Amino acid sequence: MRNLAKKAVIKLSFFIPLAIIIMTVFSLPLMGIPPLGNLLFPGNGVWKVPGELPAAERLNVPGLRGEVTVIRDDWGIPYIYADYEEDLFFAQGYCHAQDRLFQMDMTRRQVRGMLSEILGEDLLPTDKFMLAIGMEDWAIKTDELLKKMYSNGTLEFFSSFERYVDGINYYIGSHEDVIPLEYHLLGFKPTEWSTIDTLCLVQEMARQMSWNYNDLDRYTALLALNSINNTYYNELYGLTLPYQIPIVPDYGGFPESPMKAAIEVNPSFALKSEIQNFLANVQKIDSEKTLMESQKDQKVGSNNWVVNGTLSSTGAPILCNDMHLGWIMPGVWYEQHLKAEDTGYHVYGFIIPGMPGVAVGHNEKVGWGFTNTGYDVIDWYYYNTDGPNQYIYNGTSTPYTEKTYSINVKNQESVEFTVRHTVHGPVLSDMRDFGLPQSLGNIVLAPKWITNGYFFNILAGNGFDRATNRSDFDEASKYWTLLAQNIVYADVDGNIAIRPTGKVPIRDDSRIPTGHLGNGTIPYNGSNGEGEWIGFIPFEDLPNSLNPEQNYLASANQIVAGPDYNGYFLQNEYADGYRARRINELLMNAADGSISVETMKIIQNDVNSTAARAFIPELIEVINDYYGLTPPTKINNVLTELESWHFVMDKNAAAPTIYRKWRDFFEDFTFNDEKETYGFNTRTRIVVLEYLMKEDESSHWFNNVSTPQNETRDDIMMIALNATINWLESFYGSEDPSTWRWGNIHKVYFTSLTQLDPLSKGPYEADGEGYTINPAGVNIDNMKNIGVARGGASERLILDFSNLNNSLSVIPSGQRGLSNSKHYSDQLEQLFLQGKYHFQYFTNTLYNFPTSSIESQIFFFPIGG
Amino acid sequence: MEIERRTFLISLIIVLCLTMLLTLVPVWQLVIIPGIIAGMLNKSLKYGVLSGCIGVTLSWGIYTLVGVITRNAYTILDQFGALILGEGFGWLILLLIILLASTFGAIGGGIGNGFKALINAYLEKHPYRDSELQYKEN
Repeated sequence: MRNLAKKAVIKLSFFIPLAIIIMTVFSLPLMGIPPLGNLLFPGNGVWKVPGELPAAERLNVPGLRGEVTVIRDDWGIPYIYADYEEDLFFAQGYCHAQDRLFQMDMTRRQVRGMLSEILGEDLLPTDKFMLAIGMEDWAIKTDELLKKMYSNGTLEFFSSFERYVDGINYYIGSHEDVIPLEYHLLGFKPTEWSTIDTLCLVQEMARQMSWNYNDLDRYTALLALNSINNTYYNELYGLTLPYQIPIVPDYGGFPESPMKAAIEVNPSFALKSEIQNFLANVQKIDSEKTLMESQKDQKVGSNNWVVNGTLSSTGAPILCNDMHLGWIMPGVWYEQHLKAEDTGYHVYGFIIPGMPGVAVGHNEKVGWGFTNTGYDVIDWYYYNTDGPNQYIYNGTSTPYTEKTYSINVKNQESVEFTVRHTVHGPVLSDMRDFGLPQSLGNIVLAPKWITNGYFFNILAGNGFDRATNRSDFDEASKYWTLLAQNIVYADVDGNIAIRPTGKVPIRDDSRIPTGHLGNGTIPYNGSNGEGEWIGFIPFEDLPNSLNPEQNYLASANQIVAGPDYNGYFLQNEYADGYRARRINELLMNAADGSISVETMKIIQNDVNSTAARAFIPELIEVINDYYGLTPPTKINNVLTELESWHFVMDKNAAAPTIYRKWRDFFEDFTFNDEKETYGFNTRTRIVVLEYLMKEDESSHWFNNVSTPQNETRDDIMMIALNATINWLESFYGSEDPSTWRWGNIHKVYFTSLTQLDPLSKGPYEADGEGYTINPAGVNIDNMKNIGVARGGASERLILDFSNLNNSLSVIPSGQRGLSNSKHYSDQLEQLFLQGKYHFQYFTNTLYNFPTSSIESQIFFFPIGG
Repeated sequence: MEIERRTFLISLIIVLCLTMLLTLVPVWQLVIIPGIIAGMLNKSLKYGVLSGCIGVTLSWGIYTLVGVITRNAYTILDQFGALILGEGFGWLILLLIILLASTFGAIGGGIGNGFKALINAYLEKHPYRDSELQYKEN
């Protein structure tokens, strides 16, 4: 007996500790990875991730009025057919959650300061900053206002909006255990969606398009340059930029010469130092660092254009749009077709998942597309402080108003923090230490930003979706308050139009001192009451064009209006204009009746660089002048490559590599010596360099101020060329320029929302550059190594108004945000990277949808149905 | 010997079914239970460990196979492998899952067999309890 018990004890004392050890190991998080036990064991974790959709599914749903059918096509794009519009939006919400729940969740969490709750205290600075800039506050206020309007009977659409949210929550509620992989990896679950969350997404888009520190940046440059010469600032940063072709053609054209007027300004070095400290510190916040880098790379741009029936081969307008944003996996945009029988609501296009309806696309009558206007809608104010609790406003000591927020933090107590506000906005110079307000000396900074106000974009979008003509569309556009966009328009009646639309502030510059540039260009002295916003440009006074004589309209973030627009000040920032030059060139020179959908595909994928065309002939001329007929072998080899090049940024060619690397060196050698010597770091513009090179070759900017000798333009161009050759020989390990393929150095990358490489796509070798119509702008700093573009066209759309079924579209990811789905990256890999598109089955009904293109179906029935 | 083999097969089927059922419960630690039962059903440690090991492995093997075929689960395992180890290690994660199934089944079997031995020892020390029970039943 004793033997038996002894044996049992031996067995148990071996196996039980072993079981405890292994179970403990698999129950604890390791190296930032959640417990492997939860993740890997069948019935849990990775096994509870949504898979592909079944071929047919029936859902009995409480609260539906009628039936809804969702057909998914070959690309997983939902075509939603409903008896009633309210059910249509319910199904749209359901589909968005089904495909993009994690993306929606993370975006709202970012805006609402809820990232620390799931990712821990490292995200506290980001959360605090997002709350401080007031996006959530104004989403909540706007939501309250919309609900009040709805209860007053003045906002019918809100019920559809609420049904959309119901659809999202129905999905979340019915899939509590089956959630995307990212949730398992991060160890949290989705929570209920609200109309406020949707409004937060609008705010986030507005932040990406309009939040910036340009006024502060410009001020440091102005002070630095003015201390040397009072024309220097305008030579580099003065408006208007050279070679601009205005978006709206009805207000004349610009001369090529930029302003060179002197600026008299009394430098405030205390302010300069305060601003520089602020700009350096604010970059410690992840979201701000990312935003600043993306703005430096000029990722935020876009193209849209439209030709009328005279230019098109179909006799009807053709409209194109590709909005340039950061590339993420899944993509920014979600594509769908929506049709309701009761109201005739019938629309196709793109929307940010988490928002109802369609933001960019078309209905049966009209179509539209966006590019960012660059309207100046944020001003920075500085104030003298009067003790820790008051600041001077308009000459009077004024107490700050305060708002306290509470942030939940993972694995620790929630954190409270207080934001002080001036009359203009939150005091962000307090945020430098990411902590509670503290005394920072005698100056504080606060922005006034258009986004801190009621906004009605969701109503405008609803109006666009239902518009039947230009007049309807204009009426809807009046509600487009945030996110000012150049909205290009066309309709089946043959009209084309464009109106840069949005709320643009009018400032009172009567109190600004001599030398202040006014128009919100540099910070205002809030203590003196400078630059108060006294209203907004009336909608009717915004520049616009309807059916212009040139038969086309095009925007690529260039200047909005020509010199004859005398209404109001619009912009402090716009693109260098190379994309606009190329688009205008192609459309302007097109023969009547020559432009087809096929032509538009070619244009959208065009990688001919007008920037290269501006610089390289000048370089070739300088090389020939320098060396005559007998250049050294290395130079001659490079010259051969450049002379045979047609400026197409082909990934397999070597000339684009030489051009791009040389242009970088040329810019650096022209401006960096002054930047280092005079102490400013504001981005210089390539188009200004082009102007100086072509029109002012004796410019002092070409002289290297840190050397005793006087360098000329040609010297700098040749020094840059030699540096380029040395760099490329070293990088490629070859002296033969034909081996210097552009694709080896220029790649594109599509980063997962989680930032995890296995869920990201790329890098892929790519054609183009930041200035081509099909853009892939690389980070200039990274050009010291391999340039990886992380932004470009976030969708491509071609609308054929002679036959809307002939319209095309594509996104640079896939429809579904589930990394195990074939629709996670199918459009990116099979279409986008090859410059291809897919069709839209716009006019097909539930009953004649091509069977071969139906991948899956969901049938929603009312309970009891 | 024959009886022992038959018991082994029966315990294997029980373990297989029970493990399958337990995949419906999101508490992975419960996977030890089928192994323990297997260990208790079999007389020898060898058969107890073996039936736990094979039963749980078979059960998870079937589950993963179905997941891989019907739900594209291998892509996720591959991505997960890439997160921890680098590209192309999905197979290793799959192997890890199978190995863990074997390990937990075997350990469960060992523990179960230990319990069985302990109970047997206890019963041997107190045989009257059996007689009392028999008496009461009669």
